[in-house]
Amino acid sequence: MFFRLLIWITLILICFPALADTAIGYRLFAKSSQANSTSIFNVTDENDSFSHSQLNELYAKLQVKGFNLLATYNVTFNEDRETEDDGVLNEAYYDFSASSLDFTIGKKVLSWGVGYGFRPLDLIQQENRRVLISQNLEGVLLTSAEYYTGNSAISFLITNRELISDRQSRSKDHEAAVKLYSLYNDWDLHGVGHYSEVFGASFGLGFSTIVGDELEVHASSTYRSRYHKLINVLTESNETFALTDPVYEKHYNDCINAVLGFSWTFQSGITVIGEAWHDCTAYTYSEWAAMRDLTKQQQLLLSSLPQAAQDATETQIQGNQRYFNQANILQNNLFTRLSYDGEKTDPYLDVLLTPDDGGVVLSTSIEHEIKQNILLYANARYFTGRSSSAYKQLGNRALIYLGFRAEFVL
Amino acid sequence: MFKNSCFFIVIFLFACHISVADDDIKSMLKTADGYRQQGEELLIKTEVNLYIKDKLDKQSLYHVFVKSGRRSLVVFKSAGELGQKVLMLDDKFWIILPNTRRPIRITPMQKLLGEASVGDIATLTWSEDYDGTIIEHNITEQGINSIKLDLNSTRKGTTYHRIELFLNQKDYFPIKANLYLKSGKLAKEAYYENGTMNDQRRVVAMTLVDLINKDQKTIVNYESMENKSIPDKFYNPAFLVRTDLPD
Repeated sequence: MFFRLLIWITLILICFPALADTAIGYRLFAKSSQANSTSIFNVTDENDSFSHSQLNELYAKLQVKGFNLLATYNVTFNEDRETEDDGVLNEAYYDFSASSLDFTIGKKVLSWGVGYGFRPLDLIQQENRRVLISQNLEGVLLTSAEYYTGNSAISFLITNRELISDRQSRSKDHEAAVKLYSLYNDWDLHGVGHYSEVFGASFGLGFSTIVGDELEVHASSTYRSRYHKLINVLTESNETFALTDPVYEKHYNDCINAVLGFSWTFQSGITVIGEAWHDCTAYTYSEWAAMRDLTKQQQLLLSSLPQAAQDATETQIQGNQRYFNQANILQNNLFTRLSYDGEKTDPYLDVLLTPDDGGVVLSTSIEHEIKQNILLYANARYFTGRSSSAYKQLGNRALIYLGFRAEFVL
Repeated sequence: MFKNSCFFIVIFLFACHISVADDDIKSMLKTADGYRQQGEELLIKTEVNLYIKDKLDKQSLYHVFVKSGRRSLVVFKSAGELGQKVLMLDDKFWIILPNTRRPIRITPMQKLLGEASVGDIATLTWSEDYDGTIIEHNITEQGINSIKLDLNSTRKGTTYHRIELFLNQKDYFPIKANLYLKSGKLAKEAYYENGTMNDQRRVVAMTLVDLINKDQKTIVNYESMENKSIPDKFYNPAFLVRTDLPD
């Protein structure tokens, strides 16, 4: 199906280049990750060795008279696993106007929030804002109607989204949302309301504004009536071993997410970003500490168990790492980034701190344009901080990416 | 009594002189603007060539929609930038990057540092943004008998805080501009090329010599300029996510 689609796209690109804005691109990344042998989640005898993989992404995009299409084909070559390939129709939607309303129908990426590291207003599609290598996002199926005035807008939309649970089971969620935008003097004001069959009602407010020539300030907050987290049931009892998978989706009610931040750009080309955020859907310090203590106890038990029980416990220790499968591990986060906007070379260095447990994530990147539309990248991330912190206990100690991207307009 | 009368006459004449000078400058700038932008609502197709050490390094295409009220929308048309747009409303700026669906509010400094020429190609009027004085008449610039103006920005968010502008003494056609940053630093020299577009005398190209990155030179070619009216909603920051722009 996907290859048939690619053939159609290619034909359109070749036959009608003058009618549409079309581009094809290719990205290649070599990824090296260093294992963290001192992690309490480590159940192998490996030292801090590096494993390697190579990510290839071929994408095509087309835009003509409100019709938009973005498709990607990814191939990942792994050192220790089979090659994976995956074709994704990221976006296919049509923007059109009728009377004084503007409509969108199809599959589209939705991004509503303000800020850099975390955007609470992204109620429908919350991307991980801190991935080291950003890939093309996959949109959601939606129908929207919008009304614009000179400096305000109101949007209504309904979506039909597929949710994939931790255990890979799929379910449908139907959502309805309203988004308000207004430019009031120097302030960009945002308001969102959202209802989902799965997550209930949510609403939020946000703003961004400019102070002087160099400073941008933003903040947003949302209330969520329902949310869930993965919790290990053993952390809620005195047991250390379960006969079945002990990690389950625990449902909660009523919480508040918030972000406050700024970006300051100097004439030298240096920009400083600072942000603090609270993500109530992440783990509290006590939830993380309970998981950490449970895993330590399971590790202590290992040597005294018969082989079969040892294997099962190791599986449960590895399963505990699912606590790390979310954008924010702990609720409270402080973030700062120093970047430089050069003519050909754009480097940055950023630090994420989780003050509750003393975890630190250092990330750096350098992007260099060697020729028009051909970029070289080098990105690295190092997890450190207090030895008991979540980031210090991740399965990987460091990640390194080297790659390039080329894009051509047809 | 006589002394007092003389004093008031002098003050009156001085005030009249200032008023006349102001009017002169405004009308000069309006005339000069007319060579760069004629009409209230326009679509200007622009090609920007960046040269480093006199070698073509980057070529970019832009469609610039301009509307009254200091509104302009720059649509990027080149590889790697396809889908990118910059919106300027008075002294406020937004950008939407390729493959993203969220307009980002940016500071005037980010606009200045970002795409080298966006501020230069999206702002085509001096008369609305600057005021100043005549420094010199009958000065020769680029071999042309010129008038030299010293302009200061009257608005927040202009790319250049101060401009020394040389206009043809005869018809106020722009010849050259020295472009200064807020810090007082001379950032660029702009040279305006005389030509014909739509059967009228126009600035058909602008060469920007970068005096900070001294190896760099940018040539902005105004490929076409047509009257094009797009609805006000296209200049709404929230509308940047939409893609049903007219050609």
